[in-house]
Amino acid sequence: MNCHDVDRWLDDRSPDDERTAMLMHVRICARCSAALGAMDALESALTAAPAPPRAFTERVMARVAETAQMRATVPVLEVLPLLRAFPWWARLALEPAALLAAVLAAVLVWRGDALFTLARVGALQLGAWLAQISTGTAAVVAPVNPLALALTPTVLACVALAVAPLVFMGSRLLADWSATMVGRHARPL
Amino acid sequence: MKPWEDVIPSKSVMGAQAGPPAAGETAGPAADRAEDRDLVRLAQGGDQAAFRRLVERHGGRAHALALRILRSASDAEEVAQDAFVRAWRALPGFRGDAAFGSWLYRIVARRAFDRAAVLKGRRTRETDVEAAEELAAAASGPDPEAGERARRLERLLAELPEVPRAVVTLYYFEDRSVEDVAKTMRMPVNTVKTHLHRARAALRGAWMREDGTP
Repeated sequence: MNCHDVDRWLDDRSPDDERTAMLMHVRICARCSAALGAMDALESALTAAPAPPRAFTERVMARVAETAQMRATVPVLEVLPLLRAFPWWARLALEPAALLAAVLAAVLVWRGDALFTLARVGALQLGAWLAQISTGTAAVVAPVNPLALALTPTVLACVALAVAPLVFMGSRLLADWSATMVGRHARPL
Repeated sequence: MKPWEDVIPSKSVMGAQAGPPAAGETAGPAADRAEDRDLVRLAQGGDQAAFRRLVERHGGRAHALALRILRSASDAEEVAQDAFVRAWRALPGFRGDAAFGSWLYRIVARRAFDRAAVLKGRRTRETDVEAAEELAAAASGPDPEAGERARRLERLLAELPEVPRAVVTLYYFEDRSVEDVAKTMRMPVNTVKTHLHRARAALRGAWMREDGTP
């Protein structure tokens, strides 16, 4: 190892396996011994823990006392840990997607005919509208008002049941997003 | 004693235990990080006494980092204070992915670089001298030899550009972890290594020239 290698070792913090060779050279080279001493003095100064200015802590704490901490979580999430006490099948049943699937299945079994009629009327209306804009002539469709069908109490109840898990899912996504944003702001700044 | 040990300084740069006494404590870095974690947990619940202890443990280094980037005592104090207040506000969301010190120094570095961009061109030679004196006094304590070393270091650091100065400072504040510095500075690891190499070479060369070594 020569003087150039020693400089490189010191500046790159080269691996330990070259250390012995470097030290052997330092032993016989006054210039490299001085380089090692200089680096030692530098690192000793660089690692020294400086004291903060006088009363720095007091000034910081005076500002801290007037500053409220941000909430890391939103209230909804504080309830979620309680769910961990339930067995897996209960937690699965409470998942928004599972709830939505269950409600839709129940609605189909219970009032599938009403939903089918509503879907058929909607498809006919859509087809007539498409035909009208493509050919310019109005198609002949039975004059059925879909709103009249949709506003029956049964269908409204089904729709409400189907929408409820969607609302829950949306609010949960919003809660997760809010928590992520809080976390994101908390970390890098 | 090995044959070469007579030429190696007693606190050699090669020593495996040459790392900085983190947070100014006598315990090792691992113990300091564990204590930081406990204090952070308490402070996350709003415990101001625990946060005060964190300020005491990291205030010196946070302020020194800001001062080395900004070279202005008043701006550095403001940036360091702001960083602690921001850390306090955001602490409940701190997940502990990094050490508290790394997280704090990241806030300090970002704030200091932002401030430096605003102050660009307004820095004078007088502010450099003021900063060097302030840091030398802060680092030296009662030991006159350490004071002289600190003064020399600050004078030489002032000759470096902002980014290598921050990189080399962080490297020795963050237990010599290039990866931690890279995260703090949001730089690739190899860029940090390049800055470190150049900064160390420049500082060592200048130090040796002052000593009269070719």
